[in-house]
Amino acid sequence: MTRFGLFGCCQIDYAVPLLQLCKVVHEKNGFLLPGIEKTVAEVLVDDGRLIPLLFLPGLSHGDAGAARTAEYKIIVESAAGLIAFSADRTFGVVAENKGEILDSGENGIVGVAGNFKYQGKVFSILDVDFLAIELTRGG
Amino acid sequence: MVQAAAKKLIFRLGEVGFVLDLACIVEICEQIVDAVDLRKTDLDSGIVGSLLFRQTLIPVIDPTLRLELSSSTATRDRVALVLRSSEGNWALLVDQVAGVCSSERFQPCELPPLLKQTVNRCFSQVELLDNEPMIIFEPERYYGSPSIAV
Repeated sequence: MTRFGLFGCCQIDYAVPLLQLCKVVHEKNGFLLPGIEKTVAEVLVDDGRLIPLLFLPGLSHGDAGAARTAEYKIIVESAAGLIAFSADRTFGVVAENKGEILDSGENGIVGVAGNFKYQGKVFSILDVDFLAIELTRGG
Repeated sequence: MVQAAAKKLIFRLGEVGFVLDLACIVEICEQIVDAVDLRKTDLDSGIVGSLLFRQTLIPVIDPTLRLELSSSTATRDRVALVLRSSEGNWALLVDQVAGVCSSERFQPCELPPLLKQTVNRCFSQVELLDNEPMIIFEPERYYGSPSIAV
C-alpha cells in the first residue's frame, strides 16, 4: 500500500510517496550557484552531495525567499537523482487508505500526478520524476 | 612556487564562493578606484574598463556579467585580482577576497547530472569547503586562451 509524506509550503500542501522520500532536514541553508535555472531556488549540500531545491508546482519562481528560508527541506529521490522541496509545515506519514485519492482532472497542474484528500485537506501528489527533469532544465 | 600551488584563494561574487589556484595570481589590488578607467568597455567580451597596473593598462573583466550574478559591493569597494594569461595580465573584478586555504581543506564534489547540463555554461567543477560549494574559477573562460567554449 502506498504511503505519503505530507507537507506544506506557503499556500501549497503536497504529498510525496514514501518510497521516494529520503530525508527531512531542519533549518538547513542552501547556496546559490550561477547558471542554475530559475526553477531551482538554491542548492543544498547533504552528505557531500549537491541537491537542487526546486520550486513547488504553483509556487512563484520569483519568490525564492520563501523557498530558501523554509524551516524544512524535503529530500526526495527521483529516477534522475536527488532533488529537494521546501516545507514550512509537516503533517506526518499517512497510508493511502486513510484518505482518498482524487483525480487531478483536465485542469491539473503540471508536475502534479493527482490529489490526496486527508482530514478535509487536499494534498497535491508530486510527480517527482517529472519535476526533477523539467525544473532542473528550466521547464 | 611549490607552496603557492598547494594553496587556493577564495573570493566571492555576491553570495557565491569561488576558488582560484594561487599560482594564477600576479597581485591582489585593493582600493582600485583611482587606477581603473571604466570608460573603455567591450561588454561583449566582459571588459568593463582598464586598470593601470605597473605602468601598463590591462583589461578589467567583471565576471558577474557572464555569470548573471548580482554584485553585493559598490564598484569603488571591489577588488581586482591581476591574473596572468597567454595574452598578458588582466584584472578580474571580485566583491571580496575571503582568504587563502590549503588545498587539503577542500573536498571533491561531483556535479549531479540534473545540474551539470545547465551550469556547464558557467563552470564545470565544484569543491566543498566546510560544506559550502566553491566554484573552481576557470580564468580561460573569461580571457586568454579560448580552450573552453562558452
